Amino acid sequence: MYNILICDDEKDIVEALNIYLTSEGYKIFKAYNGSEALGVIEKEEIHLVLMDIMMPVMDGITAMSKLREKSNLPVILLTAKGEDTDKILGLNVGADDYVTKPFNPVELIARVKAQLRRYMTLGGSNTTEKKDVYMVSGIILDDKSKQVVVDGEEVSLTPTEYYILKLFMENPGKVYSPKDIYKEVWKDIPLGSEGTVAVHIRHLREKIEINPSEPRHLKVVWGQGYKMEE
Amino acid sequence: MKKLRESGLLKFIAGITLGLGLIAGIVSGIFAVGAVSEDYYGAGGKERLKESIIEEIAWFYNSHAMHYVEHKLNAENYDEYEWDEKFYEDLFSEENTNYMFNITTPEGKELLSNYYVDDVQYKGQIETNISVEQEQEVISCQINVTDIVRPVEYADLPDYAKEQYDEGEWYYYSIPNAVEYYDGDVVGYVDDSQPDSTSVTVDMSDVTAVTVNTVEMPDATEVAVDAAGSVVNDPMIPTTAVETTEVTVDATTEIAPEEIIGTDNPLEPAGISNGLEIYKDSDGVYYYIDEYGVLQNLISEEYYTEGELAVEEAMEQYEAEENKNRIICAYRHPINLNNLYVYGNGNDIYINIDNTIDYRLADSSKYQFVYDNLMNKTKDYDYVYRANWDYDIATGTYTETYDCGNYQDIILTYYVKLELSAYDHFAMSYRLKYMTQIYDAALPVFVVCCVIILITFAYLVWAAGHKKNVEGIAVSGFDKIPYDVVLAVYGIAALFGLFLIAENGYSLRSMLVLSIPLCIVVMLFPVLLNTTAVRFKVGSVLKNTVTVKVLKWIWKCVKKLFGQCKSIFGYLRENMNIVWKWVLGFVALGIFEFFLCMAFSDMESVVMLMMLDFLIIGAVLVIAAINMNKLKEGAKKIAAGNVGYKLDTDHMLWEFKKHGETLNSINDGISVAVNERLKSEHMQTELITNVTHDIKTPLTSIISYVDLLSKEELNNEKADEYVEVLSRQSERLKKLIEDLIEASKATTGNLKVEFSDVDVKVLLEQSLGEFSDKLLAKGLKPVVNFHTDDTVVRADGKHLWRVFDNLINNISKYAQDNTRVYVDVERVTTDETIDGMTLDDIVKNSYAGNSAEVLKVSFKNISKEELNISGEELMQRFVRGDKSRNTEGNGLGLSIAKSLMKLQDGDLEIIVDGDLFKVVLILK
Repeated sequence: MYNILICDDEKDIVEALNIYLTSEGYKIFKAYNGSEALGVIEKEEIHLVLMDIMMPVMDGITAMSKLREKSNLPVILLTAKGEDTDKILGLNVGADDYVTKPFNPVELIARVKAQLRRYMTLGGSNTTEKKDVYMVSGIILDDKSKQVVVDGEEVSLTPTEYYILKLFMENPGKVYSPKDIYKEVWKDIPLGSEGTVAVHIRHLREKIEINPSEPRHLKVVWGQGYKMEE
Repeated sequence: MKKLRESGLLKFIAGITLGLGLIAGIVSGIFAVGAVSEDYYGAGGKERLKESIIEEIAWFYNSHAMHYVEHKLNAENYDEYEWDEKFYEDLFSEENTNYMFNITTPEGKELLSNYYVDDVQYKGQIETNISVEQEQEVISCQINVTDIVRPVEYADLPDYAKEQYDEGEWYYYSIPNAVEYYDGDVVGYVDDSQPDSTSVTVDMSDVTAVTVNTVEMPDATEVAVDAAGSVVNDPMIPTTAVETTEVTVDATTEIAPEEIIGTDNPLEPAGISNGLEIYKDSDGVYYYIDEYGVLQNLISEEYYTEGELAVEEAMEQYEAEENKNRIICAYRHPINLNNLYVYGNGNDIYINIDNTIDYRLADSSKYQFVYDNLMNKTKDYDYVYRANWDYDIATGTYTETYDCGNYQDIILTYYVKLELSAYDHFAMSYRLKYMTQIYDAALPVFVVCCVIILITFAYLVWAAGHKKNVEGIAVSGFDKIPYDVVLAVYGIAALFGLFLIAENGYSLRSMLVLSIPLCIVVMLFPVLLNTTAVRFKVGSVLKNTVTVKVLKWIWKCVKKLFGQCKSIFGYLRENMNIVWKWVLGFVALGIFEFFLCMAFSDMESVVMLMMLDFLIIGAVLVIAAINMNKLKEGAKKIAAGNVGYKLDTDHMLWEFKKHGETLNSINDGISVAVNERLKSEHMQTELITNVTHDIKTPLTSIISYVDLLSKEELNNEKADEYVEVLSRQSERLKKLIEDLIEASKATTGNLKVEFSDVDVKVLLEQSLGEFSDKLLAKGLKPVVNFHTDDTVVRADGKHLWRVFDNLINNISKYAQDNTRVYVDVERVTTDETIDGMTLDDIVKNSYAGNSAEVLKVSFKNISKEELNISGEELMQRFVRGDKSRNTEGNGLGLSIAKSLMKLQDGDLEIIVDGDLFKVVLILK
């Protein structure tokens, strides 16, 4: 049983989120601006915060930066501003994730779950560094057991998908062109058949990403290739 | 005291005294200055006068006595004797007092023996009587300076004298028929037309033989004067025994022409004269051949040096037309001390020189007789002078004509120039005689006068303007006349007085008469003094003058005129075009320098002027270039977008400054516009962001609640259907809003473009990969053809992905099911044509005529629906190929794609050909 604080000045949205998350079994606290949220966090034991950015009295960014002075509990920003700059600002200030409005309830719940899992089960204790185990931002790839766990949930991959993921996990941040990937994974010379790489990667993305068209882990570098986010 | 001040009589007396004192003071002052400065006659004046007179007389004496002395001293070396200087030494030396003349100064002092000046009178012209007597060995000369006997008018003077008089070179000269001698020169002669001259003719035809006694003459150096004053070794007294030689003359002796010697010039016979053959050389000089076969000049140098007197005469005769072919052989004047001295003693004739003079005289024995006779015939005369001779070789007849006579008083007239120099010795002597007392008295008189002047001056100044029964300063009518007028009248009068004296005062007498006007002016000085003092006291000295009033008026006019000029120039400066300014400036400079060149007219100055011009124009051009450069740099910066940049116009000149300021104001305008635009862009972005937020917030609620509703068990089939519609449409609305925002951002340029190297091939693979399922579902088969290996372009990967995304998405939506989709990638240059349109047309908007290679990506598919719309229209917002609008989509895709392509310096074209739908992308 986790306690989740929902903070948005729009009461309908708060209510809708309340319904979704309650049905998932979370205990919900509500706040309608940044300072209220900070008050609730002080009083109650909160495990996750969903916070809107644009709010009266105190906006989400300010509230979160204040929160971060004391606590590292996960914060998911809700933002109507689709701007990249806003997202980056939010993440820089200390947000763990963000969801743009209008959000897909399923996606939102998935993100909440993922954050809670990471915070509660893995948070701070992911130091168990084993050989043949790759860990990159919530994804754990165990090469021995050929097991892949994303945000605490096991994912089943085809062998090709697995090797592709492994390639990315070995060198997070590195951009692989489809050609490179083909060479590494298929162990063959790509003669125009690297087009299949894109399809495999899309499938892989669908499995490991919450929202495949807005991937968090396996990102598309358009016109160059793909990379694993560090 | 008051009485003293107001007394009119006293003032009058003081005035008179002041006037007289001034006159006396001026006169005595002049003399005092002369006395003190010794300019006229001071301590050294007497000595100077003496020297002057001695010099003067010496010159005079020179012409008469020198030959004698010369002869006495050095008969042989006459030519070499430097008698100009030596003469005086000899003449005035103690040893040679015998030859001295008495000079008596006006004071009665005898300066030199045998020469004296009776009297010196200064009356403009002085006549001197000179008596020259020949005694045994001493010549006595008397100079009598008497009163003017014969004034000579300028008009009477011979031309040469006039000329020389005008030039101021001479200060005395002779009248015709008198002795002539010149200042500083010793040319003189006695006119032979003296009434007492007589002619003696000697006929030699009856002479048969004569005896010539040759005497050896002593050397010049041996000539001396003994203690008694008589000459030792006098050449006139033979010192050796007389040797008598008898010579027979053959009158018919002939000389062969081949014996002629003496010249290198070819000679031409020029006729016969007096029985002698005359020759002429190429230089036109005439010669004859003497008996010894020696060529002789007709007028030889010898004659000049032997005595100018004779030569002058000879020249005159020679030059006379009738005597042209006559041989002239001038004899030396016996008295004028020629080299030849003929000495008669009974039958013997002694000749001191036997070979340097005319051979005929020396050798012909006939001459003894001639001279014997001559001496006898002329013994009563003071001088004998051969005026003429004639020799006929054919007959052997030789005739000589002598002028002879006794000396008499010669009238020598001095003409003294009217403008006497201060140092003229006549003036000096005059002063010496009469002015001494005046000079001596001048200084005390001057001092006394000064004292008187000071006292009366002070009194008059003090008393001026005070009048009986009048309070304060009495101003008379005279005092009201403008002061400068009074001064001018007085000054003119004074100048007139001075002019009279300066121009016309020859003599003291005339000076006295002519100085009367000046004296009157001086006498009137007290009146001037009085009025001046009154004016000073009243304070109207400067005020009451015409000058001050006129100056004031002129100042006013000038000020007014200057003001007008200033405004005209100001107007021109403000309103004249820079071109005209420069043109007019250069024209003015040109005209100015043209006149300068005309004025200089020599090459050096013109070159200098050119150099100066070069410097000035060069400097102006350099300054202009510097300013221009500043402007250029500034304009560049402004052009480069440095909006805040300000040109520093403080150090600019002329029009450049104005231009710089104009640029600055343009830049100000630009910066205002840019700021406005930035502001408006910022506002636009803000607006979009805010609208997004404001729309998205309710939309979020809608979507959320629709979702919640869909999860509710409604137990109503219709309600489920409606909820499904709501859900679909709200999703569509969400997409529409996102697209709308993106479209507006893309078209307003509010999107950030981050260029990097993008491999179109990779991108295409990725894109097709993303859509593989969708395409597969529709049975669409992409056929990708790469016509080039170089597929890397410079673009923003994300934006390009959005373009591809849109296009492939469109294809997946609108392409006919189970067809092939062709994607072609090729490199083209701008001059190639694609499908009837030049690529240039396509890209010119983005490339601005850049003819570089571009990458062309074209997507071709067969449309599902009938395309009754043009490519142009398709790219407009909210236009879809299917008019029914029944599928999802909002018609923004192509519009956004086109905008994004433009943002990346590329372009997008749509070509619709029947059902063939073709999209062409142009990438850099």
